[in-house]
Amino acid sequence: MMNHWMFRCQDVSEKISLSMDVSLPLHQRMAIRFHLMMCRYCSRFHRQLRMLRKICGRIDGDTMPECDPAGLSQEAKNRLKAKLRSVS
Amino acid sequence: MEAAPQVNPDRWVDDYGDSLFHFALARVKDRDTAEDLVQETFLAAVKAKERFKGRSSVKTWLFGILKHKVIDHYRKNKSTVYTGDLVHDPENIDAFFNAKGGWQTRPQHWQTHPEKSQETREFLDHFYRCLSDLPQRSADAFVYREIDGLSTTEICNQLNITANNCWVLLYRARMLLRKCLERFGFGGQQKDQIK
Repeated sequence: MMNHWMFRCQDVSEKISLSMDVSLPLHQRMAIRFHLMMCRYCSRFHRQLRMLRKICGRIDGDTMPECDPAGLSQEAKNRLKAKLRSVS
Repeated sequence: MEAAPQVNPDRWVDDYGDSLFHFALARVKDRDTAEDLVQETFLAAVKAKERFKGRSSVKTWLFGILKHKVIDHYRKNKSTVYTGDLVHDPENIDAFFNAKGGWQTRPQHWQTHPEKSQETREFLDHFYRCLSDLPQRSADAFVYREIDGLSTTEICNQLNITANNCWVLLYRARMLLRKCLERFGFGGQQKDQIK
């Protein structure tokens, strides 16, 4: 079944965003896929959202490369410990 | 399952201090600021220790706090370079599209390779700055969803909004973020700005 929204990038972009959060019904997924086959800009938008998700997934503890091999200085550690002792 | 953490400052600093510091330093580029963020994280953890149920490891818990501290840091130190007409009227997503519903400013091909660490760092720097410029509730929804990995139901509860509102906030956040990142060089040519 054809959906009128599937021809408008604005509507499709909303659906693409929604598809990042919920599972859309099959006919809507098909309509999006059909639109993406025809529209390079919405395809880019779709890729960008997935890239954002991928990047955000890397905003986690050990996944970032160390930019400075030196950690906290001993002085800084002592300062932190003293501060924490004073509040705990 | 790990028991609730003992408040043992010496152990926290020795066990997690360096990795938290590296995490912060990779994002703020300044040792003093990174150290401050680690300190704020530990202080917040001491304050919130009663609420820590031991569902995750202490390390994960501390990193969770630090992630938000980094975002707060960018929000507090907003660069005016990033503010401007881009989010002049954040309610008006219609401005991104023409009357026929086509893209007013066409999404560009992003020339970034997040798998390369140096580019990830550069991307993240712009990402945090763009995030700090979003309307607060859109930014909150986005962070909960994409960084904390909450479901939309959980976000609705956190922000006390309906599912529909949540999806709208997320849509706005994504539209504004991708546009902002594109403006700062991830989209190659900048020839088709919003008129």
